[in-house]
Amino acid sequence: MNTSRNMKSLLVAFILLFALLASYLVYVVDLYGDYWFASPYNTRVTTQKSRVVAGDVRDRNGTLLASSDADGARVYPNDKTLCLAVAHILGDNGGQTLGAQARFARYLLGFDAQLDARLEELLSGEKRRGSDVYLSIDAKLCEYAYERLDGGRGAIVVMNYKTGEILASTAAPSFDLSKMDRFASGEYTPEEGSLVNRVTMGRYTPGSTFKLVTAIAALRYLPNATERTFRCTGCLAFDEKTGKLVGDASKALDEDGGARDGYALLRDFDGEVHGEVTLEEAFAVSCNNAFAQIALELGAGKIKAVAEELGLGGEFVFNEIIAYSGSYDGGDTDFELAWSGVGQHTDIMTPMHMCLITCAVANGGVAMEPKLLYETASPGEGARGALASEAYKTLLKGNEADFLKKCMRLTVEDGTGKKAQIEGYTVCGKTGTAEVSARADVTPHAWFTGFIDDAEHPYAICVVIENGGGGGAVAAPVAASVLEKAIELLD
Amino acid sequence: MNRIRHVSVASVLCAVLVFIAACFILLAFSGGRFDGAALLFGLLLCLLIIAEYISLLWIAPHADRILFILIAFLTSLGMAVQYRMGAESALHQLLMALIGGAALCVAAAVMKRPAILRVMSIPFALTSLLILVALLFVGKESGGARNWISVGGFLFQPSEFVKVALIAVLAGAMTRGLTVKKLIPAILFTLGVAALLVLQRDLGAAMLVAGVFLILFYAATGKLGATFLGLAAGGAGAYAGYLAFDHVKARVGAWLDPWATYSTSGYQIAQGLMAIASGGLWGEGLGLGSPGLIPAYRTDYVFAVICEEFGIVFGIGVIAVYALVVVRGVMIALASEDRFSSLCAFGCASLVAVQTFIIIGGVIKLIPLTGITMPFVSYGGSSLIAFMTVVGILQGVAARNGAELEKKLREAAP
Amino acid sequence: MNETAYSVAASVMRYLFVVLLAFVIFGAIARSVLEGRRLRAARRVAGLSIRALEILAPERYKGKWFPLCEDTYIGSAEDCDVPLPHTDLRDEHARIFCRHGDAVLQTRQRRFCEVNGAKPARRTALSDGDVVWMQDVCFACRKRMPGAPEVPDEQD
Repeated sequence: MNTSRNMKSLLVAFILLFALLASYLVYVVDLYGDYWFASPYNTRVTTQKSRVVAGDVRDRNGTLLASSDADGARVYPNDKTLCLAVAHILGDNGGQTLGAQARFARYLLGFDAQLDARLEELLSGEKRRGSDVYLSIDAKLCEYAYERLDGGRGAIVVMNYKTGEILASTAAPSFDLSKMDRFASGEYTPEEGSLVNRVTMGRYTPGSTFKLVTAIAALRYLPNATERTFRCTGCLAFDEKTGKLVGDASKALDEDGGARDGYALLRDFDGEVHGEVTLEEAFAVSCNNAFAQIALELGAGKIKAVAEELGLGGEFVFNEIIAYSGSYDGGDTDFELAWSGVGQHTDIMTPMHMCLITCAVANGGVAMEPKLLYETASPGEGARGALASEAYKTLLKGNEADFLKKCMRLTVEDGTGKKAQIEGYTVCGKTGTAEVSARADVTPHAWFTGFIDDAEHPYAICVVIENGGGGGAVAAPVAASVLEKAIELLD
Repeated sequence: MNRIRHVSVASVLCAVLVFIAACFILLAFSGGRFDGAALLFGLLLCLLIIAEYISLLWIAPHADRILFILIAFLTSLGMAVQYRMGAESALHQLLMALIGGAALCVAAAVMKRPAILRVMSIPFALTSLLILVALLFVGKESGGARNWISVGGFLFQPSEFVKVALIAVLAGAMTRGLTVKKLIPAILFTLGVAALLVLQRDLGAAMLVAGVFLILFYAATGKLGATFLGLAAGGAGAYAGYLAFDHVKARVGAWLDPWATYSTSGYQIAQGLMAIASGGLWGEGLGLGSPGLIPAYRTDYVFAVICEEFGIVFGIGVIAVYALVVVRGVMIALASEDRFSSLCAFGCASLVAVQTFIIIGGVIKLIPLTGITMPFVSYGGSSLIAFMTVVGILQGVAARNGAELEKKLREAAP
Repeated sequence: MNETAYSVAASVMRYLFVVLLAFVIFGAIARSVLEGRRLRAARRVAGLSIRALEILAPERYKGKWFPLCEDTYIGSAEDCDVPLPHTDLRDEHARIFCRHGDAVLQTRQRRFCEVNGAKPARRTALSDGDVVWMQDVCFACRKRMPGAPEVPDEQD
């Protein structure tokens, strides 16, 4: 009947509850505050636009990307290609596309204004000016990358894997920023699908670039994965109805080498047969056969677990950009599982997510959080560095990252990624050719994801060219030229 | 030594008065024209607080001064925020505060002789149940819950007073007997009240009632096992409610992802979060935010408005003030030698604690939102008067504690 | 007042409000702690077995009564709780404080000190009726002050 003691312990419980309340408030605003503020539903931002002249948006070198004219309307540079190249990452001013202008409204519209700025406004009688924002991208690099997409559809993203800075992000088809203020009224209709930022929200079949994930799963769950060999016979056969693996593939083939009725095949590109290969070699030549066997041996559960650890199927909560993650489903049958292991079936990846995984491989297993904000400059004050590199998640163990680096180096040196080589630098990467249709006349997507293994030039890249053809043939050279340009511009 | 010399709280009281002055002087200049009524309002509020302070100390000489000042601060904050959103509602609130102040003094006076309250246990219990049943038939609906009664043009919420009566009833029951068997009538009473509240769709109040019961139960008996059993039963009841009621499902869905359900149930939470984020650490400034965008910005969501205009640092300070109120309340309960008074006081402190936690937790998306008010700050006469009564009970018990102690001191050294 | 001027004023006031709130919170905490200490002291005094001292010697102070408080200083200085100037006592000769419901006598001058005829320890608990000699002062410990048997109920 020790009422006193009970009351005291309950008091402690109450105090803990209140402490929980206060700390949750701080935690949640710290984590999501900017995200909530920049929400397109936040009318406070819209009302502020009438009170404040929005600041400029520039790239890391100071190139002007967006500014306000005398009437307060938003103006963009005359260079048409530049505008198209940065349209997605910059975003429009009306909240239709969630780019930098919406994200950093807090700075652009002066919500972070100090007291002296407000005082100055009072004294001068002019409308207050928001802060200028410097993005981490290099405008010329974006423009170059956009030109390399050469009128096709696709996405290119270049990141610094040591700091997480986004150095270039461009997607095509693009839209006209200067006309976006007439979008809501219907006067301007951009090309269909052009408002989607394919870098962060383009959900593509990854093709062989997904073998990165399968390889990681093999490293984690298959004993002796780095030393053993796999036998590539050029073709795996499955029963068409049940999807079960058929032991003897020769039964499934007819005279022309096509599939007999009742059988479905898994083949390598161009029908190649690789023979006995190690994991590293299979990776470098992108052997579907070997990776399908690996997938069948692992089982959907393990691959799914690894995929989830790498962020697939989850939600990215980044401070400065919104990015969709990929998704993975192991399928119900052997056939589906085998294809999911080589990046087909229902596998989905976004270029940003792929680049993030590549960054982790390049950075010893640690993926840095993608950063877009480089500096801010309040009117009257000088520029204030705003880049705060932070690790997002440790995706891989150090030795796993090292091994994958080796694989990716071999791919570019002597595998499917030969066209990604750059003189004087070691490029590592993985190509991908993603089949998107059973029809013969639809070309697959061309993927290349990779990085430069050099501490002075820590650049990672991911290129997707929709219906571009072979990853090694089409995407790799694009990646090489963009990386070369990056080295040239960023030195 | 034969007197208790209380600590001087003059400086803290002055700080509160300065706060009021600052708020209302600022408000007088908002909106372009000079609003003299704001200054008058602020002055009235200050006078009311001083008058209340003097009356309280006259009626209950050893009342808890610190508690009084904390409550005065919260009520004044509420007034300032209400005035900022509309002068008429602030005036209404001031009137209610006047009545509340009187209720506080009455409750304090009554608690100096707790036997009075104890005798009233059964009548209180029956009246509460009757009122709640009557509400089922006569009650008007507002905001999804059918718990308002209109009397002479004034809308008020009897369920707020039922909560206070519940504390007295439970404290009385737990003074008499401490075995679970002897407490069965109390348990049944609580279940009855909770069920009636659920039927009126006032789920927040039902949760509150159950919570206060379990807290008092543990405080009085110390039976951890039985308490956890009760907690589990409550959890099961909540889950059953989730399955049975669609609007509970909507609430939980809105809690998990307000942006997904933005156009329907998530709107309120999303707007609240955007408001809190817009304020940042130091706030937009009084009068510079946009509270009108948030539904229920006067009542349930005042905390979001406070965070938007005064800042998150200030918001945390407000949480700290509530925590201090609860601490003082528990100290009063611990100092009481009379079991009934002690339990009453503890019940009052728990009521404030649980209600504050539920509403602030709902606003910051820690737990699903329920429709209850923020004590002292929210707009709402019944809520304000009920909580003033609660504070009155605490002050009464504190006064009794002080008087008893002084009696002992004087016994040997008059 | 125009909008910008108000905006500036409100911006300045933000900090003032936080400062005032901080003052209220910390002021409340500080006073709570202080009040707690005082109440605990009062409770300790209320629970003492002896509450008063009756001076028996020297002649000039004979028959004088002093109530005990939480920490009673006895000495010849004027500002002591039990001031006995013009005696052989030092300024602050001894103190009687509360410990676990007992009144405990503590003095450094034990040479000419006697409790109930015997030399006292560094700290001696006192009970009702104990007679203490210190230099030329003698006092007896009493349960209550004179004229205090039944105190009328103050609440009527």
